[in-house]
Amino acid sequence: MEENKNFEITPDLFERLDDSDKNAEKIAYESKTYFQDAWSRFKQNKLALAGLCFLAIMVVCCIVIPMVSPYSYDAQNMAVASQNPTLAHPMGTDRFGRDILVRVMCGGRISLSVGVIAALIALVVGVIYGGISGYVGGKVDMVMMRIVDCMYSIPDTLYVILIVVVFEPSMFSILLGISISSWMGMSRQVRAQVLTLKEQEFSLAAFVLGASPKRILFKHLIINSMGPIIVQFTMLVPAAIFSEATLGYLGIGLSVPQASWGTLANDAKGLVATRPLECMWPILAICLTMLALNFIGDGLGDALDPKKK
Amino acid sequence: MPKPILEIKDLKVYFGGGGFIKKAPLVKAVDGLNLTVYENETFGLVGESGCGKSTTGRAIVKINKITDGHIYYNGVDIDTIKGDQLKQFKQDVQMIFQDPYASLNPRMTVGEIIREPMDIHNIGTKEEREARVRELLEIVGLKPDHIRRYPHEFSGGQRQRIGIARTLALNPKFIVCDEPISALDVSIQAQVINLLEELQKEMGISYLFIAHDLSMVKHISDRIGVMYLGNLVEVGDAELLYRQPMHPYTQALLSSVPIPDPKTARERQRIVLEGELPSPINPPSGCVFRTRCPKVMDRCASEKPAMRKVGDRQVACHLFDE
Amino acid sequence: MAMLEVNHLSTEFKTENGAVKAVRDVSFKVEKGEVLGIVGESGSGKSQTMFSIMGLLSGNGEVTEGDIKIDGKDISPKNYSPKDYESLMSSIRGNDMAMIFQDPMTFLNPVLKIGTQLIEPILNHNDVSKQEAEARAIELMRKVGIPSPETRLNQYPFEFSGGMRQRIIIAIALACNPKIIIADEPTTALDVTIQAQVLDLIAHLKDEIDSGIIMITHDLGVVASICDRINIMYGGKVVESGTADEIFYDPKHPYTIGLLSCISNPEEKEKKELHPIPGSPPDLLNIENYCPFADRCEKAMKICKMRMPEEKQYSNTHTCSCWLSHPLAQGKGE
Repeated sequence: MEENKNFEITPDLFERLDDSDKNAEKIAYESKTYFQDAWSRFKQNKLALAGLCFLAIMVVCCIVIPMVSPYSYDAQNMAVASQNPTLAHPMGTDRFGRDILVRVMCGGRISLSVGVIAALIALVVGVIYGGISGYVGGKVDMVMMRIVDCMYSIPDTLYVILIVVVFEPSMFSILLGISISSWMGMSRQVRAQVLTLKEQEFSLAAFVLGASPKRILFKHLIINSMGPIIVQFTMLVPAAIFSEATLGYLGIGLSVPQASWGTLANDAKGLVATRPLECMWPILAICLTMLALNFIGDGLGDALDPKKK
Repeated sequence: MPKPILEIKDLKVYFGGGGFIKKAPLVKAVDGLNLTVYENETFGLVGESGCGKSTTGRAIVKINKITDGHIYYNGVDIDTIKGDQLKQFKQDVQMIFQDPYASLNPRMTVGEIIREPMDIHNIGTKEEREARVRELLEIVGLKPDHIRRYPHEFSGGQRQRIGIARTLALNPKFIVCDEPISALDVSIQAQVINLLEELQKEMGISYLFIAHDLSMVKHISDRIGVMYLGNLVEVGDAELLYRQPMHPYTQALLSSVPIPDPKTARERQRIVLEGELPSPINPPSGCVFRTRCPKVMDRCASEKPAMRKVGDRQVACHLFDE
Repeated sequence: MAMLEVNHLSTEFKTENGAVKAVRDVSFKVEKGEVLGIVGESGSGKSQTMFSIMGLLSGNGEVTEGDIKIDGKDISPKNYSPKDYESLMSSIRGNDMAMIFQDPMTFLNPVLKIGTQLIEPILNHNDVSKQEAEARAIELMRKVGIPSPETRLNQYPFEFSGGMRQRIIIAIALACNPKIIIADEPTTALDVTIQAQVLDLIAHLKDEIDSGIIMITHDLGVVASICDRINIMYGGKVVESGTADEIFYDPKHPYTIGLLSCISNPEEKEKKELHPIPGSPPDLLNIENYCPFADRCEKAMKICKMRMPEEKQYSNTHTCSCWLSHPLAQGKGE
């Protein structure tokens, strides 16, 4: 109350305040979009941030290292076969003298792009399928969801193996197989979101204004499901990477000399006892990437869920 | 003679009844409702939760499907309306929602929200739309520089005004106001009510004003209809209905309204209704109010009272049978 | 002695954007058999005042100042270690202090029978046998107007309607003979006819029990009918306090006057025009220390945006904090 003593109350302080000096419609918060807001919350999560950094470094390395390295992924050089890590070959060489670092990074290109592309396909299919099912509702929804249930009842790996075997192992067949086996979860998630959101007053308001179903579905319902969709997407990517690795390990993945992390691990599996390092590199790459992706997914889940605010 | 803008004839809206193996119970939300709203008029529809007042409002804007009966807008049945007429109907008839937090898309800026109706109906050029958005913001008392902000940055009353600006974008003729003030603070309610009244004066809009708060409804409405369990029990001039309620339910409802005046509140005799609202799945036979009515008679159970004219009023009660 | 005494209570919430001063220097008393109404809009701090008293503030909230006494016993958080305070409050809540919330289902356990939930507190607070407790439970249910309590005792909460659940909550509140009953918007979720029933019940009970009752609401109609005294809160502060008659017939603060002129009283013959208060309620985030109502006040003066006004006593019961009561402001109130 120290201030009050020095404060002199004079008559001129009692003049009527002008309206322009009032600030009755003041908004205290600074303007932030949803994603800015989510990003500021995501940043608080140190683990997720670390995951994001690791993933970024991994992606950059996968792109850059094979480009600048003097070795190519399939160039054999028997002179340096089966070497332990050296300065020239930081991860050593395999039994054909190929540089393991380059091979792991090339493998990463394939594994990561398979993961992202398959997850993207699953995302698009799942969002459209689930969106339509939830929005139309009634009998259409019933039938569409029973189809999903049927597809769910067959094990994922079975699809992938069947499709890859039928279409011959290639990038295309692997992508097709993984996407077909992984869009159902996304469609269920989107349907559940759309079902609750379509009863919300803002989508009813759009309906009353005369908006077309397409507009309501995409501009109002799916935009507002973006949070769960993105989280689901970050979970789909590692799952797809895993599926591809499993295929590679089973020996029905991409054919040599092309390599993914799965096929690299498969190649080296006979050497676990004698040269464990060679087997460890691709496995380490898979594990760390999985971990990073899961941290990111977790962090995004928290950041995009407005209820936790 | 004022011209009717909206006529509801024997409207029935039922929910449920679907299901594959076992039929879900049928909820009779609105069960035989007749009502006329005239041009430039505010019709207040009051009743407790579950009486079907919101369902009626939603049926008018085609959110809820009509089970039976007809709704005529300017003489055209809205259930069979198509093409250009439907497009015109969607522009003319608008709705203001109850919850200002849920009725604005959280991912759109205020400008996008208010512009959306014009985008949908392809009205004007981009610049014209932008100018109209600013004009509308001004009409509802917000600043044009609020245009890029998101709804969550505004208070409840401000959001409700954004919602009103959106409905005004298409120059509507008829607005269903579904409890537009019940989620707002007292000092803000009057802002919204005054805004609605001004708009009516300037643009000649008709309102169907749905609410459970009788004092505000009486203030804004020209005529009031009282609903109970899917039925309209009394319709009349707002002032008259408040002074001399005829239907026993209207009497009880009015005596329950909290009065912001300690002396009147202390002296007033309340008619406290016994029991609870019956389920609309299995409404009572005859008069739906008979299970709670203090003046119940034998014939109330057997015969459903018809709406009849008593003076300037319409009442559905056997007490007023000739 | 007052049942509850609160002096200079202040509460803050820490957020990433700064401190939210939800309650600022609030003082009041509740006597035995008295109903105190606390009226305010959302964000006025009325609920946070009560949560501060009950020790139920959410994680980032903290009572920064003030004394709270219940029936003479000190329960101010600053005088105890956090652990002691927690155990003290858990023995006081549901014992000396009973609560009635807006949504009864947050308070009732959905998987326990009503009887169990009602008998438990009776057994905890009185030295009685199970049979006696059951008899008392039935008596309480009758008192709050629940028909055929013997059979209702064996039912689950979902079998009760909203109004009936609120009656059960009131019965549970009464079971432990509390010193103070805090009701936070007890009738807001109910329909008008049911609200009237519950308000009648509370008005009827207040003469029979020895508790003080605090009624938190935004509805001036509700306080007019049952409250003896009323505190009007705005921007985390009590701006005016007085008996119901003083507040309704002789309001001093421009906010109270504004509130009364923007509600419509249906009893009035002529349709009066509503005079809304312009603008929106203040955001309590980083709020500055001047009259919180100044930005919306029609009669605001320069000083209103510089200093917090002091409280002026108009009668034993009537106080108001507004610069218009200052001698130099004479004639500015018109």
